[in-house]
Amino acid sequence: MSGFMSGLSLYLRSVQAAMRAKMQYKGDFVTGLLLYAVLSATDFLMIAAILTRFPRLGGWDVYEVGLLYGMASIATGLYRTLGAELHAFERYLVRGEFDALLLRPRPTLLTLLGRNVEPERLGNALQGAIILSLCAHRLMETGVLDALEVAYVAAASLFGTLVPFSLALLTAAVGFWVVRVDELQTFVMYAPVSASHYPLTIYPGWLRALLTGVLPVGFMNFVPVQYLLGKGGGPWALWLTPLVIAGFALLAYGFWRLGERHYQSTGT
Amino acid sequence: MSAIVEAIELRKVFRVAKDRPGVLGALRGLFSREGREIRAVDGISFSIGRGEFVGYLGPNGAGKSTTIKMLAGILHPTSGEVRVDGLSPQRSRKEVVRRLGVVFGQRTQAWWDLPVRDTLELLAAMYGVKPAEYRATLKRFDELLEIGAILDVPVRKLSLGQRMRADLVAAWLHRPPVVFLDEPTIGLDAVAKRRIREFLREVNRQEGTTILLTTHDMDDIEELCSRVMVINHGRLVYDGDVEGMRRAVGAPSRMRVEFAAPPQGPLVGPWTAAAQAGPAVTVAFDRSRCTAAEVIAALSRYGQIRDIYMEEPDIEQVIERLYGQPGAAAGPLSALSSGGR
Repeated sequence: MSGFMSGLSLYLRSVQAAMRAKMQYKGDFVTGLLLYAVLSATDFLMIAAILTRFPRLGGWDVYEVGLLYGMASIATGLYRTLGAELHAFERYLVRGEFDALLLRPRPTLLTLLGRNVEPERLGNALQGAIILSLCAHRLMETGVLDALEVAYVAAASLFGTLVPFSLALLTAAVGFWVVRVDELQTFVMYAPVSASHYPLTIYPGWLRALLTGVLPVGFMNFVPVQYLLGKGGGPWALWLTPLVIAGFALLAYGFWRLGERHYQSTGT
Repeated sequence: MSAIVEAIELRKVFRVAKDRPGVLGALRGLFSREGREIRAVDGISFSIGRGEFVGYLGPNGAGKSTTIKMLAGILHPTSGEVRVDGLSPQRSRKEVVRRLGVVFGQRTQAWWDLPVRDTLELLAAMYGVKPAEYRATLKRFDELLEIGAILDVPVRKLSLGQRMRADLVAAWLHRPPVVFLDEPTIGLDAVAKRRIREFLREVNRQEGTTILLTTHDMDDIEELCSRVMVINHGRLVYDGDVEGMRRAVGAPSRMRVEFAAPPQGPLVGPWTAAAQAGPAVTVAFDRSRCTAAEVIAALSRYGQIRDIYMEEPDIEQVIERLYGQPGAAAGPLSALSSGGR
């Protein structure tokens, strides 16, 4: 436990240093925050536009889909904020910068994450939180959700950060063998996350199986929300969700540790 | 002298896969067994004692960096073992790197946009250096490297020499018993080089830090190292002192002798070449074949000797000869490489 605390305090110190370095270029932060909020809000405008044409999407109305969208946005926004270096991991492999992480007496992942954060990406999460609040409010008014269930949704949104994070960790670890992973990361991250903006029931069975059984993006929002909205599943969805996500995260970390051993560094 | 860094039959084979573009290409590369093998390090063994200052030489691509990276736990050997202070860097990475300082001359570990102090403080926290120790270390290094003046300057504004000084302090901050230096003087001017050499000599003597240094700068080796290891084509071709390396290569030593009167007749003796200019004679001889005393004895038959000047072969020439011989790896040098301790 003391190891964990010292790791955490070191991470925070490192993040502080990263922030100080960022503050050399102050203007970027506010611009970035607004930019990401607006950019990601357009995503939802598109979904909303679709829903005005087809008021019910697989039996879900705009507020219900908004719940899914909000949760996914919070999770990915937080991941992009805290996992900035993981998202840009190819550089560490191509330039051999991973060497420096292995030379520090700490877990490489912790050292890596501490080197940079992108707080402007919070704009994305913020935008998701606003849409989530609006939709949750409406669903409480209509009596579909109670306060406790909304609390669960909020907690699941935060915990759900582990889903895109683990996807990124898994694909970054593939890089220890193949080096070039930018495209793979984009592919494995964006397609499933975009898919998770809609109820998975609109997809064919094989895709639904893929998005819950293999890449557990379904557990980031759809699986628990489906049950909470009374559209299927059972109470198991509520406790299975954190278990699956935690399990997937552990699996991804295990793969990362395995990959470390295969790191080939660079020529010189 | 007890060993602090050991390599036992160390080997690293890289499999270079064909580069394929795109996601599918990357995935295929993951499973394919195509490609060729490169033996970067091909079975080398050595043992470095506590407090030794060892130079590690070799042409580009000979396997120097690969060796260092295996010693530091960055790479996993294909076979063989590494021991640093009795521990395997591959199995106990964190414990080993606590005992290590590493400096790569061509890239800094410091935070680019922040003052040097920020990086040092972060490192102190990372290695659990107590505040009192931290201050004492900074004070000591300020005396040796005059870093006080650059502590509050952002790293990106430092000159190359200043940055190297900052990197050296960063590497020594947690007082590691072993430090690996990869080209620490590369690109520096003469003054900066001299200062860094003085620092290295000082910490090696005073703190007893064991240092393994790779360099292309022969002055680094001549001035600092009590022992040299030479690697070529992934194999150790020499391990011993600098003097022994000169002998092993058979690079000619030169002796210039001044006679009281110009000597007569063709000069015959154990030398390989002789040139005469009045009373002065210069002979080149191979130290592996005869000693300087024998040369003097032979020369003294041609008259009374007034003065003698010795010219040892430049280590640069020695290295050139060493690398210039493609067969050197398996050649006569192997027999001489037992010079290590």
